[in-house]
Amino acid sequence: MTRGHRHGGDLAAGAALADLTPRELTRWARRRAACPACRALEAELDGVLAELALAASPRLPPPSVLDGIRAEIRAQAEPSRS
Amino acid sequence: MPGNDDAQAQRRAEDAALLTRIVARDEAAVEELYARYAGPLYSLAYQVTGAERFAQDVVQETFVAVWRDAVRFDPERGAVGPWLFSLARHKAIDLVRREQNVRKRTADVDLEFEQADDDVDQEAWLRIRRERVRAAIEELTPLQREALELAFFGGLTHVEVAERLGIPLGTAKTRIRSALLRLRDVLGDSLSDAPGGAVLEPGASA
Ligand SMILES: [Zn+2]
Repeated sequence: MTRGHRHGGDLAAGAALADLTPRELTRWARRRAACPACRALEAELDGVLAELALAASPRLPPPSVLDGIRAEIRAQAEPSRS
Repeated sequence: MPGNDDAQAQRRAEDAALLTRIVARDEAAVEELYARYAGPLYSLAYQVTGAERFAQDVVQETFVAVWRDAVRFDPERGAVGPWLFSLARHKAIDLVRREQNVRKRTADVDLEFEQADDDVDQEAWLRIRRERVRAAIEELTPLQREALELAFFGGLTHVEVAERLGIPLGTAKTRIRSALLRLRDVLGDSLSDAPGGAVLEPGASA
């Protein structure tokens, strides 16, 4: 289904990894806007990267991280107090 | 495995519901999303940055960004999980690229995957999918694996991967691309948790 889109493969991989030059980015934006197969490929590669992330050695963040998130969210909810 | 796919679809729907609540400014929904994803996001951020305090910053910034930008999440383009991992990975890479002293770019990137202690790995879905993707990585050639891991976990640009490995840029790009496509083929159906793609866009050409 992605046959005939060799360029798309290269650009799609670069796009998924956020590693395109500005010129490549323009080319990729045009291509994906015009081509459903390229859009599908992009979505698939995003999915591959999300799975790849799960390969990382498992760790848990300390509780202070959630405390920090709570504090920041509250601060945003009441900007006048900060 | 149909049972697995059902569970995955279920998780995906629950994630989407949490996002909807976050858009409606429900703080408790952020905490539920955190309970689901903080571990794997932190693990990814640690693997990329190699430092606990940076991994902590990445996770905190990711969830604050979710709270701030939840309205910008477009379910048509994919599931919540991949969006979160993409946010966190970009923040981690920005950090690594900004802070040259986080890890010398010439130093070895730690690409050894460790097994989980049982107490860390409380979620079965996580363990199953981690084992599945690690098995898929084993299907890559050593050269593909090396290039992809440097790019993905090392946060190196394609140019840096080429320099590090002493190969032409085109070769580095080819290895990374072919590694990603191979993983896609090996993981196959299990990518249904991933963005819409074939599921959401079959009619997009019409
Ligand atoms: Zn195309």
